[in-house]
Amino acid sequence: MTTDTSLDRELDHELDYEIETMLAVEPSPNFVSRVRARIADTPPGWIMGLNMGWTSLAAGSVVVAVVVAVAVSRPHEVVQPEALAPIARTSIQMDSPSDDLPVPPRVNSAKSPERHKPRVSKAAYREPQMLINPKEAAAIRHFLAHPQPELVELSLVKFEPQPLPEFTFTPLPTFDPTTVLQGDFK
Amino acid sequence: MHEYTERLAATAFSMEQDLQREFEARLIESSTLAFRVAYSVLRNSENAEDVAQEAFAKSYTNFRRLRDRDRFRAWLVRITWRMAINRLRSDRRRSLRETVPVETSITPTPVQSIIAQERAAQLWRAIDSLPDKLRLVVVLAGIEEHDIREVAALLRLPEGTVKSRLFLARQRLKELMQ
Repeated sequence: MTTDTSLDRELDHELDYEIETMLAVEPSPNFVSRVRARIADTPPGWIMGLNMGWTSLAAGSVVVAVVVAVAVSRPHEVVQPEALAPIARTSIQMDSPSDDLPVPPRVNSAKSPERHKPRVSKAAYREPQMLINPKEAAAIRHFLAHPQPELVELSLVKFEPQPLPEFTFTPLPTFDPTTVLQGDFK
Repeated sequence: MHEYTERLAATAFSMEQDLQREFEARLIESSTLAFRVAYSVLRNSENAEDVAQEAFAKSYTNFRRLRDRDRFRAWLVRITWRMAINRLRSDRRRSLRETVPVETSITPTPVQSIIAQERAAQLWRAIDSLPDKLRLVVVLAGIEEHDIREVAALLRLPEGTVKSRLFLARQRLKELMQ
């Protein structure tokens, strides 16, 4: 037991000595002067902090300016009469061949092997699409494009109450449900 | 007002000078420590000097923020160790470790020198295979000539923890070296 412990200690010392020897490497003589030169190029922390502060301030100002510019230049969405046209483009119009609706891709098209995405005409502004008859849409467009104020003006029409004709009530025939009439039981 | 500004500037300047003087003293005191810590990871003198230099530059940048200046060495060890590990990871592919310079007095013949170098290489491989916490203790104990108190101060650990880690590390190294 004592031999084992002393052997262990001996091995430990040997190991420690070896590690110490391996780590007993000195830096080159000009190492410290190189570090000094490197540090001389480095601004102290407070200057770095100042620079960082200015940089972050400038970056923040730029971001704020961009946000404000975008907010100011953003156009207000006004409903234009032309904007109704895309809404009218619905599946109902598929039966009109003269329309300029996108042509659906051919299945065996050799020119474009990649998958076709269905092309959808974009509406001028986003609202839920409604199914409107094309004739009605055309009429609305025409109405909005060519307003006719003379037709819109309303004239007052007087309605006189008409006299009602004489109305007489004829009494309904009455019968006794308990009486048996002829021909009921044949 | 002008006098007050001048006095303020002079005070700031003298504070900066004091700080630089203090850092210079720390640099002289700890340059070898930082170099050896980096060397224990990288096993290449040039790379170790580069890493130690960068570690000093980093510590200089943040030196003002270090409240307890007595902990500079511990702080520097941690920075250097982390930077060396990062450097090793990034350079692993192209890093060709230089031949281990074993300066022992018992290597007079070429055969003995080859044996010693092979033994040292084996020991480095064994140290590298240790977990980080054991490895750092072994390395610092080797650098600081096994002053447990100093190693404990550098790692900011209780002496008992350092002792037990050193014991475990030695056991593993002995197993690996057999």
